[in-house]
Amino acid sequence: MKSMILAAAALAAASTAAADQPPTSDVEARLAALEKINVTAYKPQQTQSGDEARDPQVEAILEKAAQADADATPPQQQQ
Amino acid sequence: MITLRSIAARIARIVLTFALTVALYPAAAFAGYSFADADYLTASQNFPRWAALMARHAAQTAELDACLADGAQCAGALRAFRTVVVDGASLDARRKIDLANRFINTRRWSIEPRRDDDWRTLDEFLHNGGDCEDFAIAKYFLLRRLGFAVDDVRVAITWDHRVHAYHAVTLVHWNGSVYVLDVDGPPRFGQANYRFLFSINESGVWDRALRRSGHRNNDVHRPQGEEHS
Repeated sequence: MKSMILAAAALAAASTAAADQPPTSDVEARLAALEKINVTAYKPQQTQSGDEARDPQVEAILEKAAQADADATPPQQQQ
Repeated sequence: MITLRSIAARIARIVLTFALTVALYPAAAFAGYSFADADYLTASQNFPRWAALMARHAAQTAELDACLADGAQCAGALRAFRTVVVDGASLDARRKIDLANRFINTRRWSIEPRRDDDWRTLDEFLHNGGDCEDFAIAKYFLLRRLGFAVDDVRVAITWDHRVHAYHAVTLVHWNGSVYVLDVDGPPRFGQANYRFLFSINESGVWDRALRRSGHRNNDVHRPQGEEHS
C-alpha cells in the first residue's frame, strides 16, 4: 500500500514537471512564436477611395445600412 | 593560423551570401498570397488567441442570429449589420466582397493600448469598433455570413516592410484569384509591401515560414478535406 502511494505521488510529480516543460514540437514552437506577434494599429482606415468602383447595388445597400446606423443613434439633446 | 587573407575571404563570403539573400528573397517573401495547403501548420483551435476569439464568438452567435431573424431584435450597430447580410445575400460573390470590405471600413476605428492586442469578435467590433486585426476579423465573419466557405476566407497577419510594422488583412479566394481586403481601399490582388507571415481561419493556421524553411508539417491534428486548388 505504501509503495502504491509513493508510486502515485511520483507519477503526479512527474506529470507536474512535464506540464511545466516548454513546447517541444515544431508546431508548438511555431504557435508560441506566432502568438507573440503584436499587431499594432499603424494604418487608419479610409472609408472612401478614389480608385474604388461604385456599384449601384452595393451602394444602395450601404446607404440603407448608413440609414440604419443613423436611426440607431439617439439624437443629440439640444442645449 | 588565421591570416588577414583568410579573414578577408570570410568577410567576402558573408557579404556575397547576404547579397544573394537580399537579391533572391523578395521573390518568395513578397509574392502574392496563395491558398495552397503547403503552409498548413495546425488546427486553429490550437492557437490560443484564436481559440479564445472563437469561444466568445460562439457565445455571441445567438444575438446575431436573433437579429438576422427579426430586425426588432437588433441592438444599435447590429441594425446596419442586418441590412448588409439580408440585402447582400442576393448579390454575386464579387459584389459581396466589395460590400463586406466597404461596410466594415466605415466602422469605428478604435486603437487599443499597445500591449493589449486583443482580437475582437464581429459582435464586439460592431458595438465598439477596433483596429486593423479587428477590421480583418470582422470582414472574415461577415463574409462567412454572406455565404463564403471556410476554405475561401482567411485572416492574414503580415509584415509591412515599408513602415516596419505588423498588419492584418482579410484574404478571399474567389474565381481563381486571391483578394486582399485592407482598411484603406478596395479589394486588391496583392500588396507588394506586405510579407505574409501567417493566416488563420476557423479550420487552420497556415505558416509561411514553413515554406521558407522547407519544413513539411506532419501535424496529426490536421483536418481532412482542406485541400485547395
